[in-house]
Amino acid sequence: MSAARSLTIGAAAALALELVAALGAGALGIVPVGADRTPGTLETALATRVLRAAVARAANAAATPRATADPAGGAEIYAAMCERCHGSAAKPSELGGAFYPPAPALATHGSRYDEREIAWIVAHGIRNTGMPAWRGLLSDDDIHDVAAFVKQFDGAR
Amino acid sequence: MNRRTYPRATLLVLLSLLAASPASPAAPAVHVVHLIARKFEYSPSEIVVKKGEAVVIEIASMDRKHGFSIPELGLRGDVKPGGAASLRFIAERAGIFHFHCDVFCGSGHEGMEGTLVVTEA
Repeated sequence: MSAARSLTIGAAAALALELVAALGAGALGIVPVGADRTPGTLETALATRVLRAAVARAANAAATPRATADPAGGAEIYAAMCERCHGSAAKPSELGGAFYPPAPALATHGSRYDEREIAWIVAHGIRNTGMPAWRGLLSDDDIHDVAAFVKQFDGAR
Repeated sequence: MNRRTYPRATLLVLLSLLAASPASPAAPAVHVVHLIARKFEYSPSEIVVKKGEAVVIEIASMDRKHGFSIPELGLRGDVKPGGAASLRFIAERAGIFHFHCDVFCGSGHEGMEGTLVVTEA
């Protein structure tokens, strides 16, 4: 048996063992699922990387935002629909901070996403977080207005 | 046959044939529903129609811009402030379908909703 083939078989066996261990841990109920803990460094790094790549790819394929988004209209929507979780400039959200992962404090930290990516996130939400898909409740114009408003937080940081 | 009575006889035959023939199918009746949209409700909030009916929903906005959406039926429209919109469809499926406003109209927007009930004919 060649060294390369041995290495491949060994790697496949290790992966299979890890998968079985993960499934076993899940079946035994020993995977922590509570939201009242701080996400680990590795988990945060991996999830952030995956999320950023996925959002960038999806947003790139999405419709181009309106050139004339109305941040003032977006501010009204943000106050009614977003502030509860993402906070305001005056007050961070206790509720949003209790999510796992915590909801981004947009008003005080801004967003690393560009306006188009924010619009995609607002429209489609992020699974396994508290971020819902708003496209059923908000029009496309509403969503682009919110994205334009959120992006203004970057300048206020 | 008297040549002068021939056209009259023909007319009588035609009239009797018309009287004996079944009535031509009437155009299906259109069920018109008037809906008022205002922050943060539709009035009425429940619409009841029969399966197979041609339905027209006339929506009037009493204040600002509103939307009307029934995702399950692929039906939606915008209503301008103080304006009206008309949505036409055939109620092809019986069931209960939820509609809601999908254009932000203020704090309380998310509760602006109602129900379309399509009953069996």
